[in-house]
Amino acid sequence: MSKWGMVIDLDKCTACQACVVACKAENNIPPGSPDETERQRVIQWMEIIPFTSGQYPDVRMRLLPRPCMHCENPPCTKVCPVRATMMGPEGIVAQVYARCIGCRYCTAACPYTVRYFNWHKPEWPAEMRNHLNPDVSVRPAGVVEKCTFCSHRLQKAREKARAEGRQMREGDYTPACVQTCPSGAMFFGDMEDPHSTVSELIKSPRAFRLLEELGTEPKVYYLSEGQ
Amino acid sequence: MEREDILFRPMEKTGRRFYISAAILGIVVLWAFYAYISQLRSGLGVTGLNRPVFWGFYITNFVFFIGISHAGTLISAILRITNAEWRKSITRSAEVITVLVLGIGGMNILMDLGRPDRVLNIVKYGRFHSPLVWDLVSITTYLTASTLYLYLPLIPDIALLRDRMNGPRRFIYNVLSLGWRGTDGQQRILQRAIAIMAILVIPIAVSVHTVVSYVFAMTTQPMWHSAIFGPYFVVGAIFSGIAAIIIIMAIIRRVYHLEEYLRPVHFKNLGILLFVMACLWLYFTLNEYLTTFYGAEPVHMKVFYSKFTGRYAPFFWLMVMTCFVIPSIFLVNKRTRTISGMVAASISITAGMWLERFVIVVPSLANPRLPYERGTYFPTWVEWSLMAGCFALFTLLYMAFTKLFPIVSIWEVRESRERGIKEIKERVREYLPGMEVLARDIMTRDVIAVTPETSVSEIGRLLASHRISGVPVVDKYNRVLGVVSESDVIFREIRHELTLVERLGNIILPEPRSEIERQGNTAGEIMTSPAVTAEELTPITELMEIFRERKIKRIIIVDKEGRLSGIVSRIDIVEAIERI
Repeated sequence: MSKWGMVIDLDKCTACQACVVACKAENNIPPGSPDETERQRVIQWMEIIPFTSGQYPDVRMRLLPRPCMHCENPPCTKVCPVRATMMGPEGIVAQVYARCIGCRYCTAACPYTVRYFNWHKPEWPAEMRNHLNPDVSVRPAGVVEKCTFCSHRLQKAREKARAEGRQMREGDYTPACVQTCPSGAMFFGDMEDPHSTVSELIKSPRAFRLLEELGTEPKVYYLSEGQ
Repeated sequence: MEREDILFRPMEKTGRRFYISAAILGIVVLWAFYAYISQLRSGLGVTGLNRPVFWGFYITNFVFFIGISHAGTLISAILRITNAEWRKSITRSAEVITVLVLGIGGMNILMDLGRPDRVLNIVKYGRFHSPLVWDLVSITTYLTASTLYLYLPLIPDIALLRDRMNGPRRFIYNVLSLGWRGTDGQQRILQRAIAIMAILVIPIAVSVHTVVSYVFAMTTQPMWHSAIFGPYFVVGAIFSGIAAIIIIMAIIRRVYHLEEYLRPVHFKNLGILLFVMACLWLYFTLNEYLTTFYGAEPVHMKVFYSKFTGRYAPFFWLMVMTCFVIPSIFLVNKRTRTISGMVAASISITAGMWLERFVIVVPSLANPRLPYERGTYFPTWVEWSLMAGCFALFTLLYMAFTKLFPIVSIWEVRESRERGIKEIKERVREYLPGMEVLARDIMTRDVIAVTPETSVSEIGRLLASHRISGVPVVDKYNRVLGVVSESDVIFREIRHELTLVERLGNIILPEPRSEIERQGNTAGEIMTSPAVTAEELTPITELMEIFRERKIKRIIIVDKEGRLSGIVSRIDIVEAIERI
């Protein structure tokens, strides 16, 4: 069984936000009005978060792309009262939009704050409405949603491999953010396969995970800026 | 009987003031309903909630109202179990709070749901790992138990109303009174049922607020993930609950002229309880914040400082003022420990405890672990309206209850008046020195005693001439060795003349030694030894127990050294009881 994971090399990341845009387009996430953005309600499954350190004039800012961590030990799934979120056998933490009651307990329990709530019915500008991704369902108002590692792409890749009568190969399944990354800073693959790119990369002494001390075992690794 | 008319009056007469206030409250409730409809139509976006402040007023209100619910049933059950006589005229008004407020607390969860239409998914797909499911289970259990606990002591009162009222209401009372006629059998069943519920309801109530706190404490969020939250929430709940009782009691006292039933002593007693809870609350608060501060973990400190000096500081310090400082001033000072002083303290506490819930829910969410932009939260008109609606609905339902059922338990107060003083006297006698009749007080002092050497025939003569049924046997130091009773003498006589079969038996099998010895001729030989004795300070109740267990006719009373000082016979007990 595969365990899907991501590695983001901060040395290569330019914080261009191409991953953020690609994610929005791929996953039918509405752009969000200026008003809603002002009210901190914009949905961004992939988000760039700023870490600032030091005092003026020695201020250092690090920008860090942040998808869902897909924790191996997710704090969000166990608090859901209706089993609307759970970790699949391949390690992807999924959300069942049709069952979610919108209590937002998972959003409150996630230490990474990667879960988003549909405060309103999602809206798109007229010209975008006809370009929604048919592979991804549009979420109704009142439910929680989150990064899925583009799991619809996994389904497609698996079906394609089956049709061609072969095993899945590295590169068959890649989320939109990783595929888009112009500087090649993002990697995706099977963490169970010891020869996969991601498995090789996380052996690096630069590898770290966010809030590792919480024991959530994220499957998103970062490679810190080396020097 | 006439003095109880005041208790029936709210159900018999309804004045203009009632309708006016009901109309105003009704308008507020309708307005809140309108606000909720608009939230249903356009989603939770109409609230001020956002990311990361996913929870706001609704969850605050939920915790607040569930907290208030601890007043009624828990306090009433504790007072009932501890036989606090003064509770009888206040428990009903407290229990009603619980039942109503639990429903309103539950409603707040429903208001908070993004998809209230799917609420039954909790039953269909419930996951028992989720503290929200624990909440659902314990709150519904508590609601059921406290409704039953309100209803049971209401039955005799409903029967009183049934016998008093005419018209369609009589039919309702008839059904609800379950054919209560007040027979001994019914009384027994009712008392037993109430006693069972009173005990059952306490652990349920404690579990409810513990589980409510778990919703926060089970996550790893800064300043939520705290082991103290369970007891802290329970203490806060009882605290705010007592405050609510005091406010409501003062209102119904004034509106329905219940000065005779809700007296200053009730307020005083509750006020003392309130101050104890205020101290406990301060203690828990101190524990919670001191450990966070001393540990000084950065993510926790972000939340800590947002409460102490940051955006939420006004709320935090107002909470400290209203939960402890202001009420303490009123409650400690004897001159302000009046009903109005107590009500002022209670209003302050109610507001303070609401702030406490708010200061727990929002700042932790507003300061997430990762360096996002800090959350800000301003409730909108929808949230304010729904909150006002909750308070209005509670008041309205409470008013309706007072119009349907007596808010002071009539039969319990009546029973108290008839039997209370006697019961208390008996209870006090049980534990108060000097109240209990002792062996010393009822024993016969001039006791005819014999020595072991006294002959049996002499004893027989003593028994017959003094018309007594037994004599103690003492040594030369007056220490009791045993007792010789009529039956010992008779037994010896019978033994003396053995039957033919026994004689034959004795030839084949020699008699046991004791039997032979008993056939002696002196007191020492035939006495029962040791005698059943008791000390001079033994209470009469214990003597009665001895009589019952040993099936004897007299108890020899001895002093500390075991010397004979008197004798208590069964007739002495009867006479003593007669005197009481």
